[in-house]
Amino acid sequence: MNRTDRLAWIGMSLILVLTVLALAAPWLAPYDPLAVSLPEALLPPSAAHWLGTDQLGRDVFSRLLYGTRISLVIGFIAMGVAVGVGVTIGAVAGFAGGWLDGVLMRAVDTLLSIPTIFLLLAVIAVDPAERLVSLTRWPIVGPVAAAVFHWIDPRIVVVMAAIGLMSWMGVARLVRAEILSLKEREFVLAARGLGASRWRLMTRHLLPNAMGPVLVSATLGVGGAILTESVLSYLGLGVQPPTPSWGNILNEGRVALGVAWWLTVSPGVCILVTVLAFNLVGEGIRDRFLR
Amino acid sequence: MATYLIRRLLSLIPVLLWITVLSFGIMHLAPGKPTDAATSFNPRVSLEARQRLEQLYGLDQPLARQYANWLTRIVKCDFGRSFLDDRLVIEKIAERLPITLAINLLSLGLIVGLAVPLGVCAAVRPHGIFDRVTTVLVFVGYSMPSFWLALLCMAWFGVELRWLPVSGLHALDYESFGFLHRWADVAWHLILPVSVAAFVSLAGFSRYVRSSMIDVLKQDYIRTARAKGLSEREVLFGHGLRNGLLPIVTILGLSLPDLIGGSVIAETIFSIPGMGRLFYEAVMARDYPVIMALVTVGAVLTMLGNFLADVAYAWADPRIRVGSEGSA
Amino acid sequence: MALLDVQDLSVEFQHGPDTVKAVDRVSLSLEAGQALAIVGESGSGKSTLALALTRLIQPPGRMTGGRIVFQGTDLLRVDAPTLRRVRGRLISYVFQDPATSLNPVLTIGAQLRETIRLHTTVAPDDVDACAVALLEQVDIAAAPERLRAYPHELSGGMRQRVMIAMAIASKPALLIADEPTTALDVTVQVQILQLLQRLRRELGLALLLISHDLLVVEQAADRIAVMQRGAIVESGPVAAVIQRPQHPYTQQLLACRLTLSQRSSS
Repeated sequence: MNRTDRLAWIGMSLILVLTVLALAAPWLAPYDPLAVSLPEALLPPSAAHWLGTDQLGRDVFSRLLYGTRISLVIGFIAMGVAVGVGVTIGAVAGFAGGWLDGVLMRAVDTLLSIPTIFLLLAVIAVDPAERLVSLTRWPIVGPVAAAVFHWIDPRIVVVMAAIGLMSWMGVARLVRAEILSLKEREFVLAARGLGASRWRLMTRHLLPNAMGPVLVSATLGVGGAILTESVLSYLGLGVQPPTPSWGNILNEGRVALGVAWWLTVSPGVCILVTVLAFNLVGEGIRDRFLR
Repeated sequence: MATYLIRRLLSLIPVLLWITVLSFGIMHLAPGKPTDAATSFNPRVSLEARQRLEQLYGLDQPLARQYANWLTRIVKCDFGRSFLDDRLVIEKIAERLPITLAINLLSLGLIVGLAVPLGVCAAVRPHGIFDRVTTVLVFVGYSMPSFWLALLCMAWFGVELRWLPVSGLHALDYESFGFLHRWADVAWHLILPVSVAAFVSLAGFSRYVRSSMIDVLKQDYIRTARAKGLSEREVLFGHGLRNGLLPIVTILGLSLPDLIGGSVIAETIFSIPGMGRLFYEAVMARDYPVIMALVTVGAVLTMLGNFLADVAYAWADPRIRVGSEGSA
Repeated sequence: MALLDVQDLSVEFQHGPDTVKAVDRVSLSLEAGQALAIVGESGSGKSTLALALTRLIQPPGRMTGGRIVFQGTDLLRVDAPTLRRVRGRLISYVFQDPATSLNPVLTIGAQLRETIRLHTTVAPDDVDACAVALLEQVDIAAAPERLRAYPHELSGGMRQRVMIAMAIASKPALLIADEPTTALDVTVQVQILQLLQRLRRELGLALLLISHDLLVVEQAADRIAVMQRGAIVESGPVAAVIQRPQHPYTQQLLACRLTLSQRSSS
C-alpha cells in the first residue's frame, strides 16, 4: 500500500472515530455541555476538566464533543444538498444541451462570480429562518416541517441549506463535463442503438460513470462545509450559542485570547483534524480511482 | 486576440445582469419590508414617515418596476443611503475599497511569489524530500480555518511576542508621523492580515503550480530542449516555466472570489476598515442597501479580475495572441 | 574506428514492484557517414534505445549497463558538462511529432538561435543570418519571415524541416531520427526523406534512423537492425535482410508490410 493509500486509510479511521464520538457524545461527555458554573470559569486544563472551562464555567471537552455532532451533521447534509442539486443540474445541462444548457451554465457562472462568503452572509442576513418556520403553517408540508424543526433548530437547517446551495456549482460543472464526454462514447451509442430511453440512459449508463469525480468532490466538500460552518459560527451567523459548535466556541474564546489559550487552540485543532481527515480520504480516492 | 477578448467581454454582460437580479432578489426575500429595519425599531417614527420612506424606496410599486428603477440607479452608481448612518452607500464603499484592494493585491503578490518557487521546486523532484514536506504543509494549510490561523498569529506575534500590531491600519498617533513613517506604519500593520490572507490560498496554489510543471516537464519539447544539450536549469527556466505558468494565470483569476471573500474574515479579525468588514457590519445590522451594493460590487470586481486574467493569458499564449493562420 | 560502438546496453523501467527491460543488452555499431535503420513494432524499445545513446532517459527509467563508445569515448562514463557538449553538437536528434517537439510559446527564430548560440562559433551579429541560411538549407521558403513565426503557424512538414535545421546547425557527426516521417502526410514524408538523404551527402552525416515503416528504411538506410522486445534479433545490409530474412520475427515483419504498388492502390 503506497503512501497516499495509507494516509487515506488513516483519514477514514479518523472519520469513523469522530462519528463514534459524535454518536456517543451523551454517554462520553463528562459534563453537561450547557451546564453553567460561574465559580469555575476559565480554569486551565486539569484532571477534572481535561480541556479546561470557558467563561461561563462550562466544560470545554464536553462542549467540543457535542460540537462534533454539529460539524458532522452539517457537513454531511450540506454536502448532500450540494451534490443533489449539483448532479441534477449538471446532468440536465450536459444531457439536454442547447439553450437549457446555456441558461443553466449562466446561472452557475453568476453564482460562481460572487464571493462565497458574501453570498452566504447576504442570504443569512435576510433571516430565512423566519420564512422556514412559516412553512409549518402550510397544508401538507407543515406537519413534516414542524417535526423536523422539533429535532433541529430551523436556524441550523438554514445554515445547512445555505452552505449546500453555495457549493453545488462545482459539482454541477463536473457532472456536466463528464456527461458531455461520455455522451459520445461507444457504450452510450450502443445503448441508444438498442433503443434505451433517455431516462434509462441517464440513470443506468451516464450517471454511474460520472460519479467518480463527484465522489472526490463530495468528500472534499464535507471538509469544506465544516470549514464554512465554523467561519459562520465564528462570525455569529451560524450555530447560535448555547448550542456548542467549534466555530462559536472559538468566537467566545476570542475575548479571552491572552489568558485562556485552551479555548482557542482546542476547537481549532478539532476542525483541523476533522477537515484533514476528509481531505486525506478525498485525495486518496482521487489518486486511486482517477489516475 | 481582439475577437477573442471582445467575445469574452460580451459574455460577461448576461452574468452581470443576473447578478443584479440576484442582489435585488435576496434583499426582497427579507421578511417584512426592507425599510422595517430603519423604521420599526424606532417607535417614534410615525405611520406617515414610514409611508414616505416606502414611497421613497418605491416599495409600493410592482416588483419588476422596482427592479428596473434599482437597475437604472446602480448604473449611475447610486446605491442609495445606508440605513445605519444615512450616508451615501457609494461613498462608504469608495473609502473602503482601496484598502481592501491593497490587501488583496499584496496578498496575491505574496501568494504568487511564494507558491511558484515552492511548486516548481516540488515538481522538479517529485516525491523527493522537498515535495513530501511541502505536501504535508499544504494539506495542513488546506484543512485549517483561516480565522483560526489569524487568531493564533494574533496571540503569538501580537500579544505574546509583541512584535506586530494586531488591529487597525495605523497607530493611534499616526497623524503626527512624517510621510515615510506613515507608510512604514501602515506596512507594519498590514503584515499580519496580508500573510494570513495569503497563507491558506498559498497551499492550493503551490499544488497547481506543481502539477502544471510536472505536466509540462513530461512534454516532448522539453525532451527536445534536453537533446539540444541545454542544462537542466536552462531547460527549466528557458522552456519549462513559460509554459507551466500559463495555466496559473487562469487559476489566479478563478481564485479571486475566494480572495475577496477572505477579506471579510481578515479585516474583521484585525479590525481593518475595509470593504469586507463593512460587509460584515452591514450584515449584522441588516443594513440592506449596503449589503446589496457590496454583493454587486464584489461580483463586478471578481468579473473584472477574471477578465484581466483572460487578457493576460491571451497575451502570454502565442497560440491565442497570434491565432492559427496555418500557412503551408 | 567506428563512429559509434554500442556494447551490451540495457535500460530498465521500474513500475512499483515490476521491472521492465526496455532495452536488453543491445550491441550495434555505426561507421561515419553510414545510415543504420532500427526497425521493430511499437514497444520494441527502439525509441528508448535512441534516447539512451545520449543518456536522455528520465526516471523511472535507468540505464543499467554496457558501453556507448562514441568517437572513442564511453558516453556512459563522462560527466554531465562533457555529455552536454556532445548532445546537440556532435549527436543531434529529430523526433517524431514536430507539433509537440517544438516549444509552442517561443518563435522558430528563438529556438533556432538558441541552438546556434550554444553549439556554433557564429558571432552574435551573424546569428540571424546563420538561422536564415539554415532554414534555406532545409528548403523553407521566405526564411526571414518564418523566423518570427510560432510553431502552430506552420504546417507539419515545415515544422519537421525546422527540427532538422536545428539538428544540423552544428554540423553533427551523427543524426538520430526517431520516426521522423510517421506524423506527416505521405507526400511530405517523401520530401523529408529526400531532404535527409541530401543533407547526409552534403554534410557527411551518419544517420541512425528509427522506424516501423520498412518502406522508409529501404529508401534511406544502408544497414538495418531488427528489434524485438528490447533485443536485436537480426542485423545486416538492408537489401540482404529484406530479401533473405533469417529470423522468424523479421520474416513476420516483412510479411506485414505492403509493397509500393499495393500502397499506391489502397
